[in-house]
Amino acid sequence: MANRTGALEQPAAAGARAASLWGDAWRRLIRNRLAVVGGVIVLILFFLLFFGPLIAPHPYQHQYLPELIANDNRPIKPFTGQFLLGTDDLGRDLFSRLLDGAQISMTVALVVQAVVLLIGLPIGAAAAWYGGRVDTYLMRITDVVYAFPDLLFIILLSVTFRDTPIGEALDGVLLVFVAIGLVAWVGMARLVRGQLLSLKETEFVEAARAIGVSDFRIITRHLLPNALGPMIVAVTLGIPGAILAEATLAYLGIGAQPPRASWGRLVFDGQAYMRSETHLVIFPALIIALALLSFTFLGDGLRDALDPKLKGKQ
Amino acid sequence: MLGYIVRRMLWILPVLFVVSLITFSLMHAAPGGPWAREKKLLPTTVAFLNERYGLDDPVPVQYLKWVGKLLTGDLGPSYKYKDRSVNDIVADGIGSTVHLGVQAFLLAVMVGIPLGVIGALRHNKIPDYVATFVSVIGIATPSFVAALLLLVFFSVTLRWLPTHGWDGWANPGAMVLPTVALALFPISQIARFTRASMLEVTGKDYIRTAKSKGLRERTIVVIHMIRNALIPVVTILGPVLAFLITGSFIIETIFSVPGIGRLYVIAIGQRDYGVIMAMTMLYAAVIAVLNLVVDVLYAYIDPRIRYS
Repeated sequence: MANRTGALEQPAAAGARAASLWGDAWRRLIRNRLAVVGGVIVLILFFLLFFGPLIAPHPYQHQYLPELIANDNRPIKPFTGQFLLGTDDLGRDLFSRLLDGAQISMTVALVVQAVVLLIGLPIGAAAAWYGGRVDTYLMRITDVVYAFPDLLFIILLSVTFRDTPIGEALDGVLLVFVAIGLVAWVGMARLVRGQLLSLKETEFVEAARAIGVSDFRIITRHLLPNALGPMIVAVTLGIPGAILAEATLAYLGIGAQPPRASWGRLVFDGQAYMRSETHLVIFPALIIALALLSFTFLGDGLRDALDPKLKGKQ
Repeated sequence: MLGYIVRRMLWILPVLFVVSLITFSLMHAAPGGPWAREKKLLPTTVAFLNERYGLDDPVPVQYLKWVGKLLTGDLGPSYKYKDRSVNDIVADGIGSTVHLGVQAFLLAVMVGIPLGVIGALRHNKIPDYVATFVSVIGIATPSFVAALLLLVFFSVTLRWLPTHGWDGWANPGAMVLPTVALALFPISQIARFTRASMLEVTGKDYIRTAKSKGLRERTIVVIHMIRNALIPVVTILGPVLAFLITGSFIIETIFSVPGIGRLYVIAIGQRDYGVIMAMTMLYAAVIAVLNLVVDVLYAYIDPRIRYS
């Protein structure tokens, strides 16, 4: 009986519970030093997504030829003059190029996760809610996608559609986003399905059904908010994977086309000068590492903060 | 259990069928073909080649012909390597790829599990920090960056190890860097997973019981903790091995390992349809079989798990 009354008063009760849950999670999160550092760097990276081109000291694609010639046609070393991190072999400012790369990587992070949610969430939710045959068919689709070797499938997609309008949109970046997203949604679908399957049997859902709430409303108002924690963690931890995939493709020459400066592409370009001009490899490698780590630390921190099992252990 | 295994194995076939259908349609949906190159071929040459390789047929017919040949074990011709069939190409490269993958897998297991165990046993002490630091480096370093840094340090600066020349056991020195570079990420994955699993087990009642009845620390750790903590770790080993075999193409490219991963990437760029199809199927089969093996193994080592 108590449950049923609780369910009828759902909106108010859910609000009160949510506030304390998220409040607790927030307190646990800010006590985790690594997660805070990761979160701050993530915020800086997102700032660069929007304002990177504004704070870039030079245009990322401009070749400073007089300076390059004055330097014997060799890449200018870092910390020596007007170029903070030096220039590449074509006289382009490395720092500005890294900022352009940040824009590409962070767009990848956002768009891929959006695609993942857009495909994975409805499929996972429908599979869990309708069960039976719907569940079987939808999960078989995820099996098929799961069976593809993911990076190679992304390469196949990218190369296949390179010469089509999608492939040429946004300097070739859009196609990479879509390709990575098309492979990455499977994990989200499985996660959502698993979460919803256990929530589906709870009393408050049964109560909502009993008073005639529509399927769509139960899923969106009662089930998904309760599965939000693990989904946030999955999205955060999915981002380094997407950034890594983009960098790997760029290293192979697939994706953002020159003069765009994807981080993976910068590593590839710098490789030729690895023995003499180490800065051309070191700085892009460092910023890739920094981005991957920040998202991983933030994701780990969020998981620990949102996982009630760990409550009281820290 | 046997019924479960048989059903899972039968299920692999439709999955492979759909994978082949998708790959085939993708390849043929795209503009350009295997004869598109910088210097345009004469139209008569293209027509001749199309006829010879059956590319004039409607796509569904081509697909059915391909499936028919596949059933007899013939993977078809390569469009780029005129004198070699796809069977030859795969046969030449698969050995190196599997060798590299399995070697990296063993390294990852032998380093990753101890790292995770040490980290958990000395939780929040210096060994834990060292172990965590190592696994953090593995996560933060893409394999191509790790490969380059290893090359600069061990081949260029110290001149200890060769930059290329993979030849299996005939040249063990050349195996070191590719194996380490490939294993770095799985090492940290396994270490992180093992550590979390060990920490979870540490809080269990049966560990407290074991301690309270005065068992030796060693017995508790080896018999009670590690054995239980490794059960979930087994579940990620299948995907890890699949990743090492299907994902080694970057490492193969950088270190000139004559495996199939490098050929696959080249084949995609060149639209070498036969090679792309064969290798996609091969990789998909590897992934499917490894996942099945892991699920069965999981039930075998943990009697509480029952499939029906």
